[in-house]
Amino acid sequence: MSARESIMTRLPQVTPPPHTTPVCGQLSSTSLVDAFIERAQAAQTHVERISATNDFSSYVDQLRDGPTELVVAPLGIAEFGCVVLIADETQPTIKALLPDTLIVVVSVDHLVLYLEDAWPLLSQASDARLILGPSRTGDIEQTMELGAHGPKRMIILLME
Amino acid sequence: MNIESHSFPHRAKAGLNNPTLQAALAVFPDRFQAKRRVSLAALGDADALRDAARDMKDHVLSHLGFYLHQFEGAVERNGGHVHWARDASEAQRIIVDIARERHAQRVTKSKSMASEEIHLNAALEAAGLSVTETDLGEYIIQLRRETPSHIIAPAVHLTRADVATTFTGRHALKREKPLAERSELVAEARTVLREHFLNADVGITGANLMVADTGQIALVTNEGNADLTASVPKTHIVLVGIEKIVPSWADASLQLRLLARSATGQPLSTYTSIYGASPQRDFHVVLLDNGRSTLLGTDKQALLRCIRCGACLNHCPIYLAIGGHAYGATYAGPIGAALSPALDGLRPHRDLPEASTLCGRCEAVCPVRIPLPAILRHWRHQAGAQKLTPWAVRWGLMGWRFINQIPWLYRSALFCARLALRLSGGAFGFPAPPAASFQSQWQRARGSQK
Repeated sequence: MSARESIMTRLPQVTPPPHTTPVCGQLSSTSLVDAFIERAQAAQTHVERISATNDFSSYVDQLRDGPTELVVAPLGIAEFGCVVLIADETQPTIKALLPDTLIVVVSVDHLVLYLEDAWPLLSQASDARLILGPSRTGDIEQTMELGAHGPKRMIILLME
Repeated sequence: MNIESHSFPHRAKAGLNNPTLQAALAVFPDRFQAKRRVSLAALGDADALRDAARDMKDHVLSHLGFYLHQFEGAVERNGGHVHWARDASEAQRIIVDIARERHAQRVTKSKSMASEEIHLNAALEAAGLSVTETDLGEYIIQLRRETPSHIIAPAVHLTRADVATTFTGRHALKREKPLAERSELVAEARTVLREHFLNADVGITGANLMVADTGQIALVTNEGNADLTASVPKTHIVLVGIEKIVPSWADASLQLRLLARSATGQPLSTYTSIYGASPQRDFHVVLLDNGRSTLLGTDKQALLRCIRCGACLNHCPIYLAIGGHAYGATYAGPIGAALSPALDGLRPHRDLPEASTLCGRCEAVCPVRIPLPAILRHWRHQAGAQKLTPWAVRWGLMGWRFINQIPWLYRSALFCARLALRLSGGAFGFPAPPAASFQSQWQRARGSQK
């Protein structure tokens, strides 16, 4: 018997009845944008509000500190203050992970309240991540140090 | 799982007498406990979410075959591979074979308790592969050839001076001045590990959960090491226990909302990384049974709800006194004491269920409400029934029961004990008893009321 069969014979095979898990996002704050900014800042992210543009080079020059990269996030989730990044040819994973300073552009129109609102995007992805602040570790003496393997600084440009 | 718990008393004593470990454990109440409390309170009705998480996990376990089958289909439809491993050696062989077929030499690994469970690093090294742990804590203990002392904080028993000594001895680097500060240690690990990330042939990660209907896995880190482990090499292997599956993103969201809050008190870990198969990725999932399926349908099935947050360790008075290495098993703390006998048999771990005050804090903080004290009591009962308990304890308990069943014997034993305590004058570290016992005071008070 193959390992698969031998494990499967020990597992319940019944087809489940329709299963619903309550949709459980909870947000007390009234403003989507304020909630997003407040939670992002709580995770050591610097948030700047900017006007609509397609040219971010001046921001990159102005914010550059060590190796710096700019990526565009398709969504920001107010519940956590995190951004969603989907890896593709133009924005591979390492682009967001290797620089010292990561600048993430997200449009206010692309802010959503809950993780639930990101399911359509996330469920299609084969290499994606939610990022909440700069990379960090508490592994030495339980004290937080920023810049473990990824960015030491994270800046969100929130575009009107 | 290493079978070392038979020296539990010895290890517990070593933990109690280790000042570094004691200093580290002393800050747990302020760090983990307080932060968890605040962060869950911010969630609104956290208890309702914990009930929902428990129910969701129970639903999964009752239909485990169905959901694993669904997951397998989804992964394969997208061009990925699912492998099934009955036990540790099968899982080791599958992973070594995948690496060999690709002529891999360098492997990076992101923290995985399942890989600790099957001693994966030793198997990969025996196959001639170089393996690098990339979670900072795991990397440090790998260099020191130690095992993790906490599910989410593996190097919690070390000081920055210990880490500096380890790095200085193991990294061939030119430094301007000796390593001292935490930030310098983190920066050096970042530099050294980056080389490993960028040159790896195969990346091995665990998974915090698998989503059955989409064929994806999610894993959380604060460092970003899982992302670099999984995304940079050509091949990504996920090693995961069969119980870590959830039906859909609705269930994944529920678990993610509770996981980081219960673990570190963060609303969400810094990185929540989602991977699946695609034509561009060489993606393998190794589903590990290793004893898990034997718990299904038993009174210990609830152990399979565990999401490995570590909250039961962080709140356990015994763990906080002796640390993780004392348990001598892959999983420490209350979950380790309850799970290790279930996976490896009770005999090698017979002392672990005793390493509890049964105070119930572990159950009170568990995000999926595992009845840990009840399971620990079950193991104690089993240890007695199988005569695994030392004879002195068994005879002592039988004597205690005998005396307690005969009131006059109980009273005279109590009298003798009080007398002995009084006469010893605190010689054994016990305070002298008050002049009148509780029982005699009670009798007198009742008499005066009448």
